[in-house]
Amino acid sequence: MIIALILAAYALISLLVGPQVLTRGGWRIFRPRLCLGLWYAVFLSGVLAVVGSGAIGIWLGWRIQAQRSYGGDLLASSFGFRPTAGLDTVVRVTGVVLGWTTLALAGAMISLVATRARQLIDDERRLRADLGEVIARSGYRHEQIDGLSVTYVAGRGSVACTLGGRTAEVILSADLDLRLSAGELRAVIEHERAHLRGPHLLVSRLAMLNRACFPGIRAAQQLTRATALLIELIADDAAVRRCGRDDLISALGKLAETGRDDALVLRAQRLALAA
Amino acid sequence: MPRDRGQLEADVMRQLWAAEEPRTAKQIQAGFGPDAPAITTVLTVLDRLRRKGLVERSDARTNITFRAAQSESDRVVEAMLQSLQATGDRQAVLLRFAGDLDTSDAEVLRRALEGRSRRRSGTSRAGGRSGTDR
Repeated sequence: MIIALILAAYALISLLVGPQVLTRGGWRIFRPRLCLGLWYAVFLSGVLAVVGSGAIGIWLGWRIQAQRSYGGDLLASSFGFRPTAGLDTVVRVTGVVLGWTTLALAGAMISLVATRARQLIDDERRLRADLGEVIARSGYRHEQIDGLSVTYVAGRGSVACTLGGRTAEVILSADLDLRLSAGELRAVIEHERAHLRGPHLLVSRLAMLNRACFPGIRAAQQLTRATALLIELIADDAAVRRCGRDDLISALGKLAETGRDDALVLRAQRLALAA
Repeated sequence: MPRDRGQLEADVMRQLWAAEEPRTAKQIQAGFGPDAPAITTVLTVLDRLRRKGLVERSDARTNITFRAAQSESDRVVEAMLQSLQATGDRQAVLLRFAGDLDTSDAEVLRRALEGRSRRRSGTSRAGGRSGTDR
């Protein structure tokens, strides 16, 4: 019982207090990989603690229901006192209610995660079909760059994106092909490759599922935002390691000109500052 | 003001996408108006675009024409490309170069960068002072 309480306390601390600590200071912007690692170490250990304390709670509830004297024995072994007859009934009822409530919550959570995961799979299937159609209708060049498939599509707007999975593919629009130099295009492709090589899609999905389970909780929103930002910074750093800083800075700058996107400018400034 | 290479390529492509018929290099040059680049520049740009796969050249020996390899005006494709740029839960399926960053993320970045710049300028000022003291 004490273990269950410790796990529940750890889960609360890690899932609620952890984000408060990890969102302080500017260090995370310059150490994105370390920060994302810490976020997910805290988050996943918190989830494990929730699962562990929940499982123990359900098991204790079941034992208390099945064996009349178990509640009293448990208090005696955990806290060193044996309840009176009246208190014993209260302990028994509380244990049973807690056990069933935990079981109901676990069921609701599993159902929510399964529904959201199903939606994600459907979204991915639809998106893959859409991308296939875009490539078939307007793809004009296909390249293999160090084993990564890159397709250029005719169209307005600056599109550079990648869809993970077994048939990973980078899509670049003609607008980028025309505006960026070969080196800058390579930097964009290396950024996308970093997304595919790292577990970026996986952590994005975990963050999204977490937010779906706890829609109003600030910590869940913070995890989603931190994940979105940190994976971009990690991919920027990986692209710099593979093809140099200047091309990526220049590509970010050119894209920021049309999109009026402050985040792109700031990403370029971060890389310049880190030089 | 001279156009850069990317701008010239984009302008030529805009003409070819807008044209209903294939166009000669001279017609493309005329399409630039009074600020037209030299015909050799137009031909170089067309050749670069052909190697990129954006432009197709006719097989004729004289009066060679050029046309866009793919139409830009496909509304279905444009709608799909627009939806690819949309942010939201697609981040968990599709990873975009521009990311899925909002104004609060930009603010976090800005604050961190300002902090780092301040620290750097503080350090260099302190370094400069100690250099003068010596």
